[in-house]
Amino acid sequence: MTTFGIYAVGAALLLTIGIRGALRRKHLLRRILALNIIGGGAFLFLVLLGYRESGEAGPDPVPQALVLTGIVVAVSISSFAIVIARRLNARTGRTELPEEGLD
Amino acid sequence: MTLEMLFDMALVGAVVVAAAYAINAPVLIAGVFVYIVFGVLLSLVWVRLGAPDLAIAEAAIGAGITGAIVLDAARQMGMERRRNPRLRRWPGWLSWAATAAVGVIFAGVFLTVSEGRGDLPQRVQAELPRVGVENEVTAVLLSYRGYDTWFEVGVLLVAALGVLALRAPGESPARRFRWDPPAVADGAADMLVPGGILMAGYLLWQGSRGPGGAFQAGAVLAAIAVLLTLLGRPPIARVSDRARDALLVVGFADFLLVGLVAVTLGGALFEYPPAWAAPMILVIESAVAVSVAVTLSLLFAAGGAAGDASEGGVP
Amino acid sequence: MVAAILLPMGAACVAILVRGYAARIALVTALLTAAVSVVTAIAVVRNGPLEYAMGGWRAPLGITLRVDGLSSLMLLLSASVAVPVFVYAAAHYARARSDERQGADFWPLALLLWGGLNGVFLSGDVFNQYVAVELTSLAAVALVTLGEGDAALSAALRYLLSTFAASMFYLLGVGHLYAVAGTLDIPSLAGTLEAEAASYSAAALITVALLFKSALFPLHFWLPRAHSAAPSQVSALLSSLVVTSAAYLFLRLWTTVFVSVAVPVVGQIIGGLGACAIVWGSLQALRQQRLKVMIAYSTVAQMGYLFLVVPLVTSALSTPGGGALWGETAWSGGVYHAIAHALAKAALFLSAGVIVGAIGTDKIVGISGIARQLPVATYAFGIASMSLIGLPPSGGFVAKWMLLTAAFKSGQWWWAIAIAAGGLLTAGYVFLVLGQGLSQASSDRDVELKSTSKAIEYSAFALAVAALALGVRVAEPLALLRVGLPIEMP
Repeated sequence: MTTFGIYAVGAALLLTIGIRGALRRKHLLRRILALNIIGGGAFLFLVLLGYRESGEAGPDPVPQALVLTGIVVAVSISSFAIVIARRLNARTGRTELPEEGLD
Repeated sequence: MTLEMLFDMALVGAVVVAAAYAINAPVLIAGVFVYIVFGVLLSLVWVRLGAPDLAIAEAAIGAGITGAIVLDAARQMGMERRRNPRLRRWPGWLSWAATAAVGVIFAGVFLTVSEGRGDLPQRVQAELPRVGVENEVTAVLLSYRGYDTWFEVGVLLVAALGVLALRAPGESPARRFRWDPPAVADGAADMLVPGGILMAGYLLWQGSRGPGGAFQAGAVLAAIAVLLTLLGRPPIARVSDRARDALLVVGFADFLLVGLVAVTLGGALFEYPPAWAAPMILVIESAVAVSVAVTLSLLFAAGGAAGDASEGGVP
Repeated sequence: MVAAILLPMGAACVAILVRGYAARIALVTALLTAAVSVVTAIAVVRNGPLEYAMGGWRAPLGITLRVDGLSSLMLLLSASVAVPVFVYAAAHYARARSDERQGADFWPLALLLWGGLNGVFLSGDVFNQYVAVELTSLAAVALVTLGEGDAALSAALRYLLSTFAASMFYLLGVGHLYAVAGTLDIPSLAGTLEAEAASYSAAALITVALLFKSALFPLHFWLPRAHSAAPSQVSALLSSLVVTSAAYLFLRLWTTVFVSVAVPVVGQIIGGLGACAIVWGSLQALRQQRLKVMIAYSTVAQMGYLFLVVPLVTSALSTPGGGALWGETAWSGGVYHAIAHALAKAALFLSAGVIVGAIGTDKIVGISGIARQLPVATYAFGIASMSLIGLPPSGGFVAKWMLLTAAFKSGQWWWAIAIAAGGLLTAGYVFLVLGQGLSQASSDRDVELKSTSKAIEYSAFALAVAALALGVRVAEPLALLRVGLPIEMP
């Protein structure tokens, strides 16, 4: 197996773990962590695209720039989500979103 | 099997195990700690894959600031009525089968992808002399795709505005911890602050040549702010609301203004003339670093303020 | 054309710094941006599609903005919705002193939202679209949190988590596109995708992400709560423009980048989901007791129509002569529906805002007799409903007529059943409301009615009239849409 292969499988595993967690966990913080791990998998796949097995050419900077943007977007969304979750928790004591059905 | 491959496998294995534990830990706070470890491991992956810019950003933003924000939230929301409740929509075997299928499909698709196609990396290099910076990632971020990065700074600005809109009437987003930090911690902070600022300045300056840049520098500054907030001296409380708003918006606004200056010099939007490119990019990066720092520290401080409402109002 | 993005964005910066003047700044910006949108449309009609290389770097190195007829129509749409909504909001915040702080938060976010939307409509680069969509989504969520109470918070959080997941899938899909084509520029991507695993994976990931963001059944679960819990001026922007922008992107990518990997069966599945959305969303709307929740479910239903375009256009692409026979009709019908729905929906939310603001409740039973007290708002609601049902002579009628024609000509008559059923169910729920409104007033309520302003009522009315006008002047929008048609049909 090549270096590319090892990390590609790692990216697939991160995505799978994250998707499973986001669907099955109810606690808001766990869900937010799971979504961030999905992000980690996506970022890993992108960075891998820029990786060059042979040392002659340097790595492709374009995917790296895209991932840097992705990291900033992810941190914006998840920290905003946490502030909303904490406010909700402070007002209602809930750590989960209400079940289906309008409240 | 070479030693290098063993290292790769161990690193990937550690990342995956950390990710699984972070979500599924029986005790939430333990999961959060492991999530921070996950961020650190991921930044090692970035180093291994030849992306030092990302490694710094991941360590500072992904593991550092996000870690601090989640950890602080877990302090408030760590109690779970039942141990790690989960949804059981499907029977166990079916959900595991679906999980396995998803994993196999992703892995299968990823493995069909070979080395990058197209000649974009060569073009990026060929035009580098006209960009005015030597770091290719910075060139893509600030010049070739500067318009994207402007929007990205806009995303951060929206997050900050959203957090400000959430505050209760008359509430300050700056939260104070109700404890007296030991004097030695204060002393340590006094030493760390100038060091941190120096480091941020270095990352900013360095960003045009080596790994670093506005986001990394901003994140380091934010980390100092988080530290000071934890010590009960939140820097964001020292500025007026007006000044805070100005600092939040300066990155986005300055980016746009420099882009417009390029238009007055006869180019397209964000088209910096080669002779002026380097200083123009530095002006943008400095303002962006300030806004990134203020936004990230606001996002941290606001979480605490949101949580304090439960503990009987503002301290 | 770039000014359509820069003006709202720049104005947002100023509005943050001088919050006291935010409303005035926003109104002036709205008029200027609308003027820019009109000028752009004229230029597109005269000279054909326009391009602009950002930073002077041509694609694939840089990002190229592109305006064809479709993008230009979308710019006009965002301006036609934003101007009345801004007038409504300015009048509302000027009167409701208690909401003063909400107003200060509303303006910068609404301007950034508008700038982001125009960014989506003008972008010619898949990654740039991703960033613009994220800016829009995050601003939308922040605007939802301006609503009252815990319901708004949990609705916003559910929306944010859904959009977060969608965002990561979209980014992964963009990664796949870069992997197979080595570029992010849409025209360069179109036609280069080969039938390989990563191309299909890219199509699947981006499709799921955009179905989330445009709330297509069964990924609509976040929408009714979020759009009903937000303040009415926000609901109007979200339900008309934000979901439409995701659907726009979906149609744009499916008719350019993914044409070569589009399989007919996938078209049928997406059309099937659209039909389910129409029926399910309408039935849910019919059962709602609260006005704004009903209107929000109606959005779920109406978004379904847009996705009926997919099976019709994909089948036209694989049939010689299919384009001339029904493909172009289906395409125009879908876009026309998006525009007519957006205008009508904004009118409905604004008139609901007028009514709810005046009587202090959004229970449908509480609005009896409102027609006599708030005639303009009731008329606005009625006219917008006409377009929603698809009665002539409204924009909704023209759109549904084109979709029906295309369905029959393509031999896929089953879509016609969904279209007709949707029209009937829509009539059902809007007449429930109008019937209440037109019934005799209970005499005790006259005193309780809070006063409202002309500007507020007439902004809703203007939007409803615009939806109606689309049914009267059909030729001009359709001519604009044909400029630089993204798909070449056989």
